[in-house]
Amino acid sequence: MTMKGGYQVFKLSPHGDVSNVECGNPNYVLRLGHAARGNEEVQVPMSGAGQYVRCKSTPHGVVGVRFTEKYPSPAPCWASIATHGGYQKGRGYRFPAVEGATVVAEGYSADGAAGRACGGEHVLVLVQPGCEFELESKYDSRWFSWDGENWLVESPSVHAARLALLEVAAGGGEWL
Amino acid sequence: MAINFQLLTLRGEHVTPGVQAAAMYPEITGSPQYVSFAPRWGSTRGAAEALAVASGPLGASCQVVVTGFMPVLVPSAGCPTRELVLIQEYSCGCGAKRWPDFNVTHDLTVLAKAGTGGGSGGETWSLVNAPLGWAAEVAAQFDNRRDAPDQTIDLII
Repeated sequence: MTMKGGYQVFKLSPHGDVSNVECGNPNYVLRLGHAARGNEEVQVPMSGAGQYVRCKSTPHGVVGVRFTEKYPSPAPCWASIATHGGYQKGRGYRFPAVEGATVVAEGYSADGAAGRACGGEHVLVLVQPGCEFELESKYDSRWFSWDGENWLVESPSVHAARLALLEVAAGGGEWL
Repeated sequence: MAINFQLLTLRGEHVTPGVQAAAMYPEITGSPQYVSFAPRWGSTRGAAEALAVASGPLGASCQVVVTGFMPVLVPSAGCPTRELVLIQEYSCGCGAKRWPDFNVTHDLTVLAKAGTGGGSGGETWSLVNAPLGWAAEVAAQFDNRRDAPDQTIDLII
């Protein structure tokens, strides 16, 4: 199998923040979740050198392999997503099952002593170009769309408006 | 044949031409105009930001396309045969509790709706398809005096 290069790694938050993960450090380990009672920490160690990453599944867990070259655009990317959007009694946060997003590793961050008060998954997701999903926080939500080069982050209203305008431009919708 | 709508905003005894539409992200070139939900009373936490989106700069009249996501207002110059009314129902909050609440009961088609979910007072905005003159008739029935009772204007067509 030909390896064309690695994928970018991003950190996404349900509040709409997107940042690059600097995983070029030789000692960098991607940690998902928390290491405590009632929580679950999963570590994704990185081998090789470079800023771009592909992952391999082994019997002992997922391992990242670094590349100095970036996979040509439009490329998939990795997203480290802590889905916890703020404490709310009895509410747990999960990553939605959507087409084009594959969860390859999963940790858990819990609220309260020994994780007795719910919490949220912390997932490492392989996101294909064109994939979009919604992450909920305590009072709000954000839509994330990956086009193979950049992330587009929108509020639900702006997302609905964009899709509505696209539908009308394509001749869809119903005139009153 | 698309209907031409006269755009109106109804708030208490006031009917004003047009709806307040603005680009939500004016720093983005080409950002469309939204009929944004911007209430005076209540908290907008968790509420929808917009009720409709415009495909161009809005004037006094428009045509409407209903989509699966949000109504799209298309500016037009034709003679209106219906009203597109942005009804701003409210209950006054802190500092204005002696002023009457404004509510409307109707059987019109609601194209979009947004409301507050907490805070002092509250508002519910809805975009409705109404016959010509409907908004003015509702506004004329509202008695907006201090210490007047809360009012629900019942105008079934």
